[in-house]
Amino acid sequence: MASTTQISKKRKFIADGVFQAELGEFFSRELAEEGYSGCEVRVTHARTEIIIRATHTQDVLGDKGRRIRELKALIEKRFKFPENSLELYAEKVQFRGLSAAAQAESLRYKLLGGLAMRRACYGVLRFVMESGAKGCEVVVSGKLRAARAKSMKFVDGFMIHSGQPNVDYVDYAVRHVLLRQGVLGIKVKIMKPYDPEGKMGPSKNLPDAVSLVEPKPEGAIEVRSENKGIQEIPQQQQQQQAAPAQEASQEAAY
Amino acid sequence: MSTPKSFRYVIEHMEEDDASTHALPAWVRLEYAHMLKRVGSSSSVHFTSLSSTSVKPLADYLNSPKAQLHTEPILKMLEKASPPIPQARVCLLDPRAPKELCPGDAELFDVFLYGGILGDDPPRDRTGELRKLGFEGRHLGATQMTTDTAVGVTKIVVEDGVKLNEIPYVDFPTISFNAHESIEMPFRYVADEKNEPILPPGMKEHLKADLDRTIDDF
Repeated sequence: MASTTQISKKRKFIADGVFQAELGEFFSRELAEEGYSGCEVRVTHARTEIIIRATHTQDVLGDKGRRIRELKALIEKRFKFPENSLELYAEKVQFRGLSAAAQAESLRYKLLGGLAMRRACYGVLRFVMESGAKGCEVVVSGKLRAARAKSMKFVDGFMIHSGQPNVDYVDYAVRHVLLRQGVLGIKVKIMKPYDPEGKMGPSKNLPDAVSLVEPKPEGAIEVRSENKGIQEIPQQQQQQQAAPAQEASQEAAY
Repeated sequence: MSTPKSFRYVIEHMEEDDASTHALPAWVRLEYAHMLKRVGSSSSVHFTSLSSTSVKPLADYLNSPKAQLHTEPILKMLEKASPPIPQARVCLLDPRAPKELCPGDAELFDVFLYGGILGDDPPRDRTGELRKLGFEGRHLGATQMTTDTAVGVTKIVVEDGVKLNEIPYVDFPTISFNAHESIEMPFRYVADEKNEPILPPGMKEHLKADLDRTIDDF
């Protein structure tokens, strides 16, 4: 990060990971209301750029850029970045219906606002599917006063659970709703669609997606041969349409 | 064996009353009513530590001679019984007990005590309050059960003589209402012939209605 002393490669990677984890956690807590969806850290030798993806970028920037400057100052002080070596940018999330973090936060606020469980979850489910997702799963778990602990699960569409496609296609987020009586857990899983352009989802198709190619229409096949006379028509030519096959056999009969 | 021994199943009620009705919440009633069905024909179910406002509504709801309702806590109820029941004959069903419940315990105990603890996952160990009173304990396995399931399982072990691990269970069942909605109950239930969990009658509808509540209603 900002240190100039030599550290071993192993420690560097670990330190980077810890940095990203702490940063992500900080933004999740701080920018929950602004629909924080993720951040990206780009390191160049001159400076470090942090790009914050959120649904309400205007609120992240604040009044005349005040909020984002405050965040920048906090991060600079915490991680001991030298002056002006850190830049923060806010970017609007393209498809917020496909971001599990944004949807989990939205569900959290809906529940806190007093919406019925079913209505809130179906609202999220419908929005996600309308945004073009392949599948969505919302789970709300916990014990509320005067009910047994339970997990309420709402699903729509298609979901995969294992393998590398799980990592590529499925976006997963967990949020806690803190209530007076206890804590509710919200888990949102969104399966992104296959998008050859790579914007809405991965550009690599699922490994078990099979695309069949239509056979090209074939023209008449001429049977030519150096030897004149009777010749065997090879078995492959049985696939041909009847007419050319008949022609060929007539020729051969000569 | 002549007439089956009659046991007393005592539930020390520990849940708060419903704020608006000052009586037991609906799902507690459903589970308590279910217990009456699951015990043997000569056994009875006692509910202790009930609030005075909840006794009459519960008695009307249960409407059964097998159910006895008390406002006193367990120790008082044991003293007041005729003849008074010695503490040594009371078995507390306690997840943290060292020994497992077995058919032989039918000889040692006449009364089985449960904390009417309804529902935390992971369990908050409210049985601890009863454990301090010094009863002998037995556990019913590692996975938490609903209180009515616990009573049912005790009856099967003690009155029917079946060992604990020979009872068919289903753990953490998922109850589906339609293609989109389901509820997973993080408890162990006894399984019926179709390998489905045995729930109190009316519980499935109650769970479905839960989905329409807001967090304030809970």
